[in-house]
Amino acid sequence: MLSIADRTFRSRLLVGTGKFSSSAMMVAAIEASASEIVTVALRRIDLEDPGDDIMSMLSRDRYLFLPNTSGARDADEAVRLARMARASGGGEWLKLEVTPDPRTLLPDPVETLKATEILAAEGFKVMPYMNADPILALRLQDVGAVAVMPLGAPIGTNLGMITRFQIEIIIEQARVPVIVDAGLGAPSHAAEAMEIGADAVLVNTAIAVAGDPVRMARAFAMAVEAGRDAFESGLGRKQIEAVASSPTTGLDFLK
Amino acid sequence: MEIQSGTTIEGLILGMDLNPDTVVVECDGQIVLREEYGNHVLNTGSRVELIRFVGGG
Amino acid sequence: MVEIYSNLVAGEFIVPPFQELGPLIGARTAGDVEKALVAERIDVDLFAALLSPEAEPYLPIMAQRAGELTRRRFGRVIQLYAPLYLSNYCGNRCAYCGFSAENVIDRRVLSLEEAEQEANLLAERGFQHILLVSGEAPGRLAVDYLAQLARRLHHRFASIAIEVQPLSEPDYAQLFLAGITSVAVYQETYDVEVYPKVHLAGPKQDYRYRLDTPARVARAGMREIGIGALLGLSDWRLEGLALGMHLAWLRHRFWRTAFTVSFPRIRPSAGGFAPMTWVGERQLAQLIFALRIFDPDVGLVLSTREEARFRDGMIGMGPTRYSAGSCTAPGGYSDPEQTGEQFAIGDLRTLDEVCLAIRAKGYDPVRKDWDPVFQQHAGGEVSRQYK
Repeated sequence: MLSIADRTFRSRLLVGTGKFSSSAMMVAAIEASASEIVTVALRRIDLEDPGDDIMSMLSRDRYLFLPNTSGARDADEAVRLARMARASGGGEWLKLEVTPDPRTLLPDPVETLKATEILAAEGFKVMPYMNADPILALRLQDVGAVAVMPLGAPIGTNLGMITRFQIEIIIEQARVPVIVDAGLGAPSHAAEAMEIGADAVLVNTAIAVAGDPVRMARAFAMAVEAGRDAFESGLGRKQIEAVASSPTTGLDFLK
Repeated sequence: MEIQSGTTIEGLILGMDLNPDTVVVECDGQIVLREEYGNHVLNTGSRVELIRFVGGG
Repeated sequence: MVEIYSNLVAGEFIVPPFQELGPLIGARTAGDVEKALVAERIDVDLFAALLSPEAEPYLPIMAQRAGELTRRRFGRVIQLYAPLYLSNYCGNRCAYCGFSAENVIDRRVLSLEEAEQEANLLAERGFQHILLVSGEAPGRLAVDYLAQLARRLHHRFASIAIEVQPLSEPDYAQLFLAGITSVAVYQETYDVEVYPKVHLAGPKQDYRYRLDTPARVARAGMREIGIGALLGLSDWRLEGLALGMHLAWLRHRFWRTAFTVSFPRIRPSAGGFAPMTWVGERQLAQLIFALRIFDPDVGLVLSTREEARFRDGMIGMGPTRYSAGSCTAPGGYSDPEQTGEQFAIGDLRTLDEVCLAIRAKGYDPVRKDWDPVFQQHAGGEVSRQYK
């Protein structure tokens, strides 16, 4: 079971709701993913063409809605978005994103830390999206993050776990769940994240833009389960060297 | 967008066939509490933003 | 988040009762030991395997692995320090300690001038790291004394550590500003059943206050904390396991703080206390190797309680810090005839002799490890926050 703050979840796969070809496809893919946490963004309603209401398509009894602050370029904007999300019935849960560089959409560590501290103090359950920096992960936990969401690779790159070594350190030191977010382009990437002990992964693009998003969602769900099972059943860790059968170290001095 | 004077926020939302429970309203830069939607009358020149959740990662 | 720690990192540190720790060690197999010896990192279960009887045939391989991890993290060096005993007055009655209140020994507390003279002698002998030690008698030796002494000494030493009675967080903050950077406070035994049987009177009877002390030290901003257990009071395997859990909890809580662990074995002392359980050199070695493999980054201290032969043999197998030329009686460096010692020394060699032995093993004896020159307020006044 995945425990974040005061809630527990059976599924360790979080799914984003963006970039799908249609709302119906989005709903079908999320269903196939067996996910219990879906991320959503906040946007102005186009008054001339309101479009579909995502909240009416996904049941809140079944899914925890995790509003993100996408679009925020600094802490102030993120805080404002977070308060709006809460006002619109989003609850206290929040995926904090502060991405000032529109080219890479990499998260700003300084503003993210600032916003986490403010929002955690206001009672938000903050899950910050962050670069895979172990010290930043500790600092975010120190100011009240309920989970940390380091990136496997820059968003949309499908590069997989290129930050693996840093994420291993984050996992080892973490006091809260570690959810690998961004850059996971294939189910094998998600499995790798789970095998090294990540508590969950978040996938959006790789599912949404697949030729068959429903089957891809199922593929990710299976990969996450496989990776978690492997981790929990004690994966044969990378062996540095064989256990020497006749070691050279002398212990003759011991009485 | 033209609306009839005297319209409340609730009236605006329902008139657009939106669900008041899932829409957040910012009027002249201030978030309006949901309980106020029924009594908050829009004046001429009010800047209204309707915001809600959309798909996102 | 590594699941095995989840019960350790939430809330305050709870020592599992030793009856519950026993099965954790008993359930481990030789296969677990082999797994622990090749893993990059090990969890509490595999740490228990290395402490178990199943690991005994693997002792040479454990030594090899511990040595390799130590070299990778610390290099081929041993840091040297000397204890400076300030006072042997003590309000506690601890069955195993020569300073225990009911023992009839020569009692004294050094004046600030005498303490400074002792420190100067240690500086002349080449020590850059000193550990100020005293019994627990706040009426004789309180925080102000330590702060004043630290202000006199801090520019002459690379680091000043203390091993005195547990203090409050503001007291530690005050001492940090005075130039003390490191605090040692050993639980003695993590076994809640045994603890009251050997702490017969005095403030030290408060197990919980003592257990919470490292957290207060860390919150006050100290750079380093030493924890440890006195070996010979309870089952050493369980003691080691509890110690490792305490260390893991502290690491998750206070990631800015460096940690060291000591493994003092009970030595002959006034009062003639006999160890309640026997811990031999092989057992001590197993504990040191296991802890090194469990935590490759922790500093491991081996004092002059142990004999020269054992200390020389252990160089390169895990320990990173040795005391040398120690005297455990207040004033004993200026006056070698001084009595009233805490315990009998096992390694009587001088600092130079110990350095030679370390060099002979291909290791570098380091008398000065770092310098707090950048630490702005060292030796300064008490900050407003803690006034």
